[in-house]
Amino acid sequence: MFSRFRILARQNSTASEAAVSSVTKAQAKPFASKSYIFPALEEIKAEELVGKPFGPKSHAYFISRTKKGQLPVYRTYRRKVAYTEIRRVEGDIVQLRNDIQAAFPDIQKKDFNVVMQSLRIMIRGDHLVRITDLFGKKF
Amino acid sequence: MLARSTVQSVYRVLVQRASYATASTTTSAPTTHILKHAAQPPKWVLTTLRSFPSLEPHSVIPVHAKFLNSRLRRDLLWKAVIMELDNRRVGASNPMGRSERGFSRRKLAPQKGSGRARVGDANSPIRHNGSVAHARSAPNDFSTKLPYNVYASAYRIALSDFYRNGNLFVIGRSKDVEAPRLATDSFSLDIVTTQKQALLQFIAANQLQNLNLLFVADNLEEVTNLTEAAKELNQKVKILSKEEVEVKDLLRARRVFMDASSLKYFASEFAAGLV
Repeated sequence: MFSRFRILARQNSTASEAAVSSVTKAQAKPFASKSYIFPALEEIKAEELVGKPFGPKSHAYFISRTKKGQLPVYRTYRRKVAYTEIRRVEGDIVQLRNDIQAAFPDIQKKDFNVVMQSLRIMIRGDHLVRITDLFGKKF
Repeated sequence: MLARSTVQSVYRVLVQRASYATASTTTSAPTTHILKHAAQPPKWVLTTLRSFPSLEPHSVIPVHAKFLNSRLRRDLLWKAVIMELDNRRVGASNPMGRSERGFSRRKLAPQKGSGRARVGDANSPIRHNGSVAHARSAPNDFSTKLPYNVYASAYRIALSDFYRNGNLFVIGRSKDVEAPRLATDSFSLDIVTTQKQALLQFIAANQLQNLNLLFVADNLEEVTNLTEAAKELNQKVKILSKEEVEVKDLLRARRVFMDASSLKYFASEFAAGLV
């Protein structure tokens, strides 16, 4: 995924644009690039546009995988206590916390901590394996 | 009777075990009910391509939401700006240390018997007019570091915030539009004259009086008229080439006008690894 984009980015990069003579540049090149950041209008679907209900109001959330295709769930230690950390949450993080609490009623609710600034969920205790299993079914 | 009661108790134990079993499976959660609010986030935003200086819209282009719709993270913006300001510091101060300070090395009071605190000489850093404890000699390096991904995301966050609030104006031509409608317009960031009046008209027409404006050009040599006209202006107008733009410049501006190739440059620099 990453490597494929890198090649395209190099083609569109400013380095290659600088190679284009100033005469062509002055004519203002039309904006049509084969890029994953700037696709053609025909390539995208209307339902993929920002504006459809997603986020705190619709209670939807999403967890994106890391560059290596892993789920962003980590085990960390704070003051010799194991914590399970969930990162890369988009959308309604509080609803995600509620849904995890519903899925694992044996974890006490006071063990959950939602860090709003960095959009992370910290759970006291090592629940890495089962939360990864849970997320693997959806994300 | 005895046999029947035994069967009943065995049955009761079995039922109990079965209920334990179902209880343990509920903790692992059946697939249909888990994370039922999970949904795919939207992927694209639409950006308008405009001509300049009329800002007339000509077409729309889709841009990846990870580039132009990042969530606001004030902490990352803060880190990026602090890093930029740290790295701007020249570090020219030359405070004197004990050895350079010119006072005598005489002990100011006897060690004992004065009834006052123990003192050394007048060069001591604890004294008024004394030296600096950890004196440095210029140039002093105050530069700090920031992980590149954090810095790149600060650019995306800043640009996204401008986009969401309608304060980002992208000047560019799409492939199906040949020429701008107005004779004075172009698809680049320049104006036809070097006169201040042209820029004043632009500011008045778009109600940009007393606002910090930032123009990001692909190449400063292509916006010479605009640069010349802005020199005469009393307003804070900054014209930068795409490589010069820092997060600080973006945050200081109230409106950002950039040509499409600059937008592509920011995407390739700061969002390339994301999609």
